[in-house]
Amino acid sequence: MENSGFAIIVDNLSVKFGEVTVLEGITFKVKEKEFVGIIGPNGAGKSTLIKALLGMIPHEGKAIVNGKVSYVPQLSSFNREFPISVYDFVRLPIAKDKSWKEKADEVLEKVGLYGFGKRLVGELSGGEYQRVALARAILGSPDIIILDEPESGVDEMGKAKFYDLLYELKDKLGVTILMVSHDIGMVFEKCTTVMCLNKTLHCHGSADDIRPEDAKKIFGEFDIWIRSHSHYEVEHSQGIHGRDEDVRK
Amino acid sequence: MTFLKDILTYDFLKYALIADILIALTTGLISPIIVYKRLEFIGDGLAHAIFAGVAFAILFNFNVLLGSVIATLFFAYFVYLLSINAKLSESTAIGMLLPVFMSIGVIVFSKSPRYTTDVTSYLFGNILLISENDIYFIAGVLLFVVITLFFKNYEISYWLADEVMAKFYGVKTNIIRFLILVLVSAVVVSALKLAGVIVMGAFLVLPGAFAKQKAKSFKNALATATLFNITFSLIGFAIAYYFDLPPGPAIVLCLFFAFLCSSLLERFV
Repeated sequence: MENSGFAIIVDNLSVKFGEVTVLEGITFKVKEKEFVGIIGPNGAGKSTLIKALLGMIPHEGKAIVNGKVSYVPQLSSFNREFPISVYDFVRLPIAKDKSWKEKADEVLEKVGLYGFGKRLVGELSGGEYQRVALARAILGSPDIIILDEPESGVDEMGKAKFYDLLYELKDKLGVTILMVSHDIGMVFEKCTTVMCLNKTLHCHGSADDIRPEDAKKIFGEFDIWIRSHSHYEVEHSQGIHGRDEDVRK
Repeated sequence: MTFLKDILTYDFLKYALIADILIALTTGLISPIIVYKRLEFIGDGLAHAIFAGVAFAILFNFNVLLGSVIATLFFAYFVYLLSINAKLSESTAIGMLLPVFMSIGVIVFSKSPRYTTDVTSYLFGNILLISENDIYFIAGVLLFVVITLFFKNYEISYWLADEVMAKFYGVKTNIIRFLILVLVSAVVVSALKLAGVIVMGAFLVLPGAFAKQKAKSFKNALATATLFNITFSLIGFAIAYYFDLPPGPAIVLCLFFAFLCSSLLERFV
């Protein structure tokens, strides 16, 4: 019963690609209806962790996902040259359901894209594409939504709107969200829980409890620059101009 | 009028015309899949692999279609073996095996008493080789392609659009990939006598490339590619007849010219 109330349970998970260890001894639990953001530098194993959770790659250790899971992959998994309509793109989880069109319209309305059904996915902007991908994810009525860098290719305004939408959906639909992101600022601002990953799990806790030093450790040559109480940004130290004095120490 | 009269008079011309129409339909239907999934190299590899099978069939006097099928199976198996065991990419494996199968074909053909005639016929196509049985085979392949596309249309289109997510939501992507490779192999074998090994790639790519410029849906792409292919294959066939040219290359040049004109019109008009 110790595990009840948890949507995801990971215990001592490791992933190796040949001789290379990508993830080592990862252990964490995600509560139901939590909104978790996973941050880490390039090559930290963030996407690998997601793929291991989804059973897409072999791993050692336990990875239990309690409930129906949906997945929003990186933009690159879609062939933008292929002429598929938003309707056909979205209905995949319920393709054989006769009332797929009504249900597709419902989820498109939820993500703010009602009326987009007949448009081609390849002609959408990055932000619209991510919303459509999210609509596909929620159409399967999932308990858990896992997202892999959903903000890539989306402008700043689009990112903020997308995160707000995720937060809203989390409350409305009562789903658990686990998301990998490069945007530390947005993760600390919008997620309830933050995980810092770089081969091993360096920190895991509420966005308010995690100290910047913890996050800083995993970014090596990068610095963490805090613009406000809850807004973090990672930049290369040489690229930072006029660093604020309110950097938490 | 002579053209129509000759078609009604000569069986070989009638078979060639029927084969041309059926092959235009099959390659038109399969070509968008090849282009959207970037399988052009596989199609070309399979076409070259057939050459070895044909050479063995002619030298040892057994059915050419059977020889072609066996050669494509060997080719696909060796590509699989090299890409799994030697950790080569599929493209590298095909790039290695394509000249190997071609070389085997040339060496085996060199032992044939009609070396030059046979090699030329299968390299560039020869309508005199098309028999009534070949028409049945091509029609069977067309039926196979139509049935597959009819029943697996959505799965195939999602496999083309987003293979990762298709697999995630339960589409059996490995089966779809295998099915498509079987279809491509069957189409290549069926089109061999008309198109020939060298220009087969164009039959597999040009209709899809044309459709890709225009299509607003997968079904639309299939229809556009097929219509384009039928129209310009027939024009190419007629040109080949009137100017006494090999039909395969004549059709390919016709398809390419139409594609070029369409691209230029799209760009400048």
